[in-house]
Amino acid sequence: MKEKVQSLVLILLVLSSLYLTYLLWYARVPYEVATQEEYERVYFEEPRPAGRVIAPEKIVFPGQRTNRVLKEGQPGFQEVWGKILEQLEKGVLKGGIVSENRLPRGSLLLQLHFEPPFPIGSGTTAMPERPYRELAGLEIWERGELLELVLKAVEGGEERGLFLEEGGAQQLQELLEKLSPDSMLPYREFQGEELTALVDFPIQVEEPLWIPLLESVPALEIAVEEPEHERLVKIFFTRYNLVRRIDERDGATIYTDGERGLRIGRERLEYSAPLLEHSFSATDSYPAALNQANRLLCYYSGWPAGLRLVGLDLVSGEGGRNSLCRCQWRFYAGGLPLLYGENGWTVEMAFNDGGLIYLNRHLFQPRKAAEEEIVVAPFSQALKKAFKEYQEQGAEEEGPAYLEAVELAYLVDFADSAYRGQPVWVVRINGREMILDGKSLHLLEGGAR
Amino acid sequence: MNLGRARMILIVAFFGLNLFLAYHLFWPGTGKLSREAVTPEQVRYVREQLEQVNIQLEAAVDRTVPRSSFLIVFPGEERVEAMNKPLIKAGDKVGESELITAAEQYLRRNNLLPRQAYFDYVEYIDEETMILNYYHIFQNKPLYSSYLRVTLEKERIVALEKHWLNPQGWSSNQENKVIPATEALLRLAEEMRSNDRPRKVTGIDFGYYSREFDAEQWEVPPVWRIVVDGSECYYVNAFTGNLEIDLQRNGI
Repeated sequence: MKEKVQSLVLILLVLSSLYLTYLLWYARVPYEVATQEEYERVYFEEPRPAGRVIAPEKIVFPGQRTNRVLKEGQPGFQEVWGKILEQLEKGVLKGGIVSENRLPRGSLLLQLHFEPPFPIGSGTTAMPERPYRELAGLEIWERGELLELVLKAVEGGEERGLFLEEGGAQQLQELLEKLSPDSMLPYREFQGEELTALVDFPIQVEEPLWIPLLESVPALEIAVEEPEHERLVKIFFTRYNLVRRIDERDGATIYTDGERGLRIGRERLEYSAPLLEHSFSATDSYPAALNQANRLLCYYSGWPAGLRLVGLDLVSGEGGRNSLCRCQWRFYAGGLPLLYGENGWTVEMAFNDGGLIYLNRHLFQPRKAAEEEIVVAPFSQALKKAFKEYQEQGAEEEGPAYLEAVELAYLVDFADSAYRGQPVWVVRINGREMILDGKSLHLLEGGAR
Repeated sequence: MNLGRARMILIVAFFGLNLFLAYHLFWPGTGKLSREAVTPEQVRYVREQLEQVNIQLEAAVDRTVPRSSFLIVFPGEERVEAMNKPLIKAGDKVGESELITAAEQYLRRNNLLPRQAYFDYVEYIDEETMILNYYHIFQNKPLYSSYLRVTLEKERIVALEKHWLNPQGWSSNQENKVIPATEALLRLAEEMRSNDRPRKVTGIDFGYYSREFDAEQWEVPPVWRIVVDGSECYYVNAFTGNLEIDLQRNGI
């Protein structure tokens, strides 16, 4: 009996050792199963509604000689634009309801200037029943009790005979009545001859130039966002536990998975995934590019109030297809842009169908306008100074001087342990940009670019 | 010997064998023979894939799938130095291994060869010049980013290049599974799909590598280092499967 038990145990041990050897040799948990891990999807915010991606560059209320202008960052700007957008999206515009001849000639109530263009018609949320087009401008005329829309396409030409629905027109009128002209910026349109007379230098302009006539601007405090590293890493890298950290000597931190990198510095963050640029192409559709820009900005960076999309370019690559799309955003405070960095953008982004290729986001944000007002030199003096610099740089030999922009802005400056907005005049002649101190008109260091 | 005694010996022996096998199969963290080991079929498949791009797999493939985390390093010693140190008496003739031994003895005597330096391979520049390559061993793991290169010319040490990091330990993050060596080899096959000359994979080892940064400290990922034709090294990130690229060169 004892021998039988021993034999049985031995047979069992031999069999089990064979089985264990088989397991060791062949059996394995599939690698794919073993590495399936769940990652939470983290992002800044949901994308904006499609119609809210583009905001007008300015809303002009025509005056006798001086116009009043509303720009991004001013009270009332988003409300007026929102009400007009609401009417465009309702798609209840009436055409041909009254004989054009019976209506009074009317007066121009307001103008909207778009830069970049505002897409309307098929495939968009604004007037989707009409053919697709991109608008450079939009006018609203008062014709008796009706409000007429005039659409100005990028390629030229205009379309009339579209009217706001009565209820919407009334709401817009009521909203406009509440706005105080004093809270708007005074602007004037100048022709080349007028400007030539002012600076005693032959100036050419391609089209009438809008120039602010401000005598002072409010002092501006600037806040620097404190980046949350862990959250940012989770936003930019889906498999964030495979991301490694590099602490640079200048205090910045780099996170990378070997193919993509995120650098978080004291004043800005940069993300780059360079391999995507050559692996994917970009869309050909302008509205699709706007939607993608909106989605990527909101997911990866957030889109706070006061930040306006100021540029979107589709860059062509090999084989006639677009390789990527580049966009820029800028912060506005009280209607004036905030400038910093090499080219003044708050956010720069490049993307294609593969996703985000590049993001450069400054961490400055306008905090609040202080009570104090800072007096600025008149634009004519800024223009004279800019042309003097232009001549001293010998640039006039390049040919006729085309004045492209005269703008008041805030330049982010660090002084007395705090960031503040320094008022500056920005003058652009033949693509050469000069930044002059708003008060003293000194050319600021690095101000000519 | 009677039969009963022989049976008892066999029972004890097989019991021991079962314990050994069970330990390697089920004991957590044994690492060497885990359940996720690569199968021989997978090695065969990878071998075929490499052959399709004209690459012979001559190295032994590690069939384990270890777990790992990042290695934290600080900048260490940077040294590039021209030298002229004869290793043998004029007129003596020695073989390569004696020359390497003589070079190492000289380097050790002068505290130029750290204890953690591990001889890697010899790189031949021309008939008279060769470079001895060493890498850094930290807690029994190679740190390829930390290295020493010694140039020998006509039985003399003529140059020393030392880039020695200061490893601090492993990142406190949880350990992650790494890809198996076979997957790293497939990644190489993909990378070299346009290869048109016969080549050989002469080594595939697990270690740590990243390019150098101008930083106070950084984390180095685990990699599979694949050596092609004896001296050409490719580093495949063992977490992501990405080929480790020079981030600066690529604009990151």
